[in-house]
Amino acid sequence: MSDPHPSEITTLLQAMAEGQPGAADQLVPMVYDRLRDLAVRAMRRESEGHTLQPTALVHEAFLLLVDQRSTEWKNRTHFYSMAARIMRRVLIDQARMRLAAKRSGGLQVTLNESIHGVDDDPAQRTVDIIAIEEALTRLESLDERPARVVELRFFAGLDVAETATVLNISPASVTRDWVFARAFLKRELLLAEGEA
Amino acid sequence: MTPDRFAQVRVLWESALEQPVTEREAFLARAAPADPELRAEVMTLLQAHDATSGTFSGNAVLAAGLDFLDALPSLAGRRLGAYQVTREIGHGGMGTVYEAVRADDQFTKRVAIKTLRVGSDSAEVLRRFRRERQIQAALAHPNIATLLDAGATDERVPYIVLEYVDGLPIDVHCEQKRLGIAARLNLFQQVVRAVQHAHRQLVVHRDLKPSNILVTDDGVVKLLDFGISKLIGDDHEETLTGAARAFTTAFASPEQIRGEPISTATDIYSLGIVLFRLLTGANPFDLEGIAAATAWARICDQPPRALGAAATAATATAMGYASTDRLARALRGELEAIVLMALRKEPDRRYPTADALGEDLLNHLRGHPVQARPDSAGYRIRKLVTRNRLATAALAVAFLAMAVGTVAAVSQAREATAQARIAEAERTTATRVSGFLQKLFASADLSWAGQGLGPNTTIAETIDSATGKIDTELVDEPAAAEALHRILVSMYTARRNPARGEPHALRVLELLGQRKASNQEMARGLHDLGIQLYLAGRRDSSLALLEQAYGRLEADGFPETENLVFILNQLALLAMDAGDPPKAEGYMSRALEVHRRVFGDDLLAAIATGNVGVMRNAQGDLAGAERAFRQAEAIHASLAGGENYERGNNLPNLGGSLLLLGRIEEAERNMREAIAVYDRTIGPAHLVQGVGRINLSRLELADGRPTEALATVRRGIELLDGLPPEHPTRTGGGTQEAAILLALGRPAEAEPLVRWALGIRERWYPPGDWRTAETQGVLGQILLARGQSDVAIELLQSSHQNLSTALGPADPRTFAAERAAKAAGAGDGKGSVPR
Repeated sequence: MSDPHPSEITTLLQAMAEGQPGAADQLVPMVYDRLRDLAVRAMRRESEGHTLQPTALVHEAFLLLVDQRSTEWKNRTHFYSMAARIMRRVLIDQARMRLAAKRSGGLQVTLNESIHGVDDDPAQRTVDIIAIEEALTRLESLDERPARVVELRFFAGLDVAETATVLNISPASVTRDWVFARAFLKRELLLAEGEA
Repeated sequence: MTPDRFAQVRVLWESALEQPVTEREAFLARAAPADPELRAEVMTLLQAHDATSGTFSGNAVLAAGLDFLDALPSLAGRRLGAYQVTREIGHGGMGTVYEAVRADDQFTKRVAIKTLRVGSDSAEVLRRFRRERQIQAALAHPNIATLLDAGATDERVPYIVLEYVDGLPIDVHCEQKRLGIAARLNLFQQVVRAVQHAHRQLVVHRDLKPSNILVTDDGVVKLLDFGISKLIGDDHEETLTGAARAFTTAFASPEQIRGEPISTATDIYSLGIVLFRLLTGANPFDLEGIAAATAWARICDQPPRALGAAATAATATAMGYASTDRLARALRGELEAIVLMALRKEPDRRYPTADALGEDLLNHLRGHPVQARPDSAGYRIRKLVTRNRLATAALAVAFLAMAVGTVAAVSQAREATAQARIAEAERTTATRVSGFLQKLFASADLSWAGQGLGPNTTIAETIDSATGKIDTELVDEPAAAEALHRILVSMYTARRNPARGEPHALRVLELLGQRKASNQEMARGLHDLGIQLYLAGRRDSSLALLEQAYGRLEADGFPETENLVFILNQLALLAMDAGDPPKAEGYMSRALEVHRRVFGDDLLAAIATGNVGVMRNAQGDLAGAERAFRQAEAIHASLAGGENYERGNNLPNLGGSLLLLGRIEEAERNMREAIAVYDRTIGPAHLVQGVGRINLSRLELADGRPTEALATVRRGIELLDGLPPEHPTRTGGGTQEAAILLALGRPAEAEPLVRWALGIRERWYPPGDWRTAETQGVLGQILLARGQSDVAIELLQSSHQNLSTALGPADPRTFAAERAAKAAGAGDGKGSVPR
């Protein structure tokens, strides 16, 4: 696996921001490989609970991949936007791989970011990432922007203000989209559960 | 769903979200009156929005998924209004607690910020906070941490801002400072004073526990979270009985667990637990490692442990006692009496005020006589007796009992279909009994297994002959005995043979009691015995059992199970029989609500919605009935799997209400459509078609077409041919035919018909039933026409009275009866016989 030099990615980001054709095509596989490595390593690191913290991961990736000094925020937004997308892919691919590996039907890749306010045992808490992915895909097909907000907040760990900048909308819109998307995803999860 | 349609959903969602939770449904009904699908879409999203993972704790993966979606990034470092959040300091049942500073120009002030449950209604929290400001001000007390502010994050998670208290939970403080009994009691006095102060402002804490009672290093007590329950709406009636009740099991009072009204006595109880812990280091109930439901049962039913028995070595050491025995000795007597008085199960038998508790502790410290007295033996025995009397009960009939008395003659269609379903249930039951018995007999190798369950021996015969042996032969296998008794109960229920069903239902209940079954199981058992008594016509006893079953579910916080639906449904039927349709409607609506949440909008939901309409009709609420029937129509329309003949039962109900509302054409359309539905689903010769015809004939008669009506009703009666001769469904036809004959001027032919119908109705329905009253009225009219005015007037007056009681004076049926009675009375007064 190639180990791209940070400045290479920075340059590509710059190019992508300027709308150069082909920049994204080169950038995505590069970042994907890198993120996947990071994800796999992170999973191994916390193998007892298979805990993955996507926020931390994407930030780590950013530090590793991008030459910080010469990167303007505008490029960062592109990076996060793309990284969120990729992180989503990484996680779902990992989940599917585990499913395939297990073949026992009981896949849960755990995605255990900051669960607050609940008194029970965090070790028991696993998230069916594939179910979330399916719901998110449905949301995407119906209304893309809230899905994008989820992607950025959920998979890239951006906060409201950062998400607003990346999507070029107001923070209030981000919050509204987020609240709506969350309700939609929860409902879909509950429905999926009801059918199971 | 298309993106365009989804955009509509989104628009309506945004507006609905701005509404207070309780008004959302009404808002949607106003905003999209003609689009139930859109409303449902938005409503389910709103419900998901409000759902917390705790609601779905049955599935850990799902719960985690929901939590994950709800998880907030830490607020540390964020600015919330005037506060800069510095760090997270802990999290508990409600949310996360942060330390923050208020950074004004002048000074910085340290505060605690506590986020509330995700899914709480942030707008409502803020509204309440504003409303409660004065109460909060009145709560000011040196031992109560002040509530400073409230707000909501960008994600609409509500939070409150509290005075920052740098202290330790009171129990930890006592151990760390190695305080003795007297020092602990003195510290506890501060707690008592703070609670008394709040109670004087009519504020109840509801969740007093050591982690809410902090002590600063210099020994000042600070109570946290006073007045919060009001903010999050836990004092609201609906949440009191719902799953949203928030309390901490180890410190909860029996009334909280049962969902009974909360009062200052609830806090007194929690104070008792805290005091118990301070003196012993343990909880009055041994709740280690047991399920919540078991813990709840223990708290509600068992006496607390003796202080001495609970005392821990650590606490004895911290207090300076050489052993737990020494501590136990010191706790015996007055101190124990004081704690146990605070811990009484019955709120009104505890100390009347926090002050009274504090005073008694002072009495003890000063060596004065204390007020507290141990529970008397007599009282305990009485309690025991009541408890054991409660321990009687058993199994469930399905929703088929749902079909209930009704508009026009349609309920009778239900009975007909119920009969069909009973037959079906009977077959199913027989299969199950057979399977079970074969297995049981074979595995137990019982001597009478040799008689075999030959294909020609009826299951019933075999079982009847074996029932006496169940308990003697299976004395070591209570589970098998219970299962067998249970099956017998369901079999006899299906056969409508309560005399045989009852002893088995009782036995099931006894066995459940012996193995300390869960509240759910007990509720089921109580329900089943209740059904036997109901079928036997012992409605008062049945009601008592069903209410106990209900209480059991209540103790569990009403988990939304099939049990809850059955029990509510049966309570609805009992209320209907007791002549209380509003109450019946209440139960039925709730059964329906739960059913729809658990099972969705299925066929049973449509039937139950129709039943709500029937109940409204029976209390004279015709417009409400129409709404319910139309809603049932909507559910029918949304059902997958094609048209169901149940729709044919709903349409005439709708037609009946419309008829009474004077909308005859619309009514006729619905009644004819019902016949068409039957034609399409169960064929033209089915006996429910008969009921459809009888309904139609009512309409034709009301519309002044008696000749047509007579043909229709006779065709209808013919179609009922398959029913037993004395079946109540036939009486609707008989009454109707008599009414038509009277209208055609043929009272002599009508009289025997109506007398026959009245006889059956009087036997079948409870006294004062409106259906019997209607038949009475028809007989009265006929007798009047035949010149027997004395008897006629009596009948007409009684009919009017009964209808007025059952349906209300404003109902068109009551009104018609009143007119008839008055006309007859007036005619009689003049000494002439009206034609």
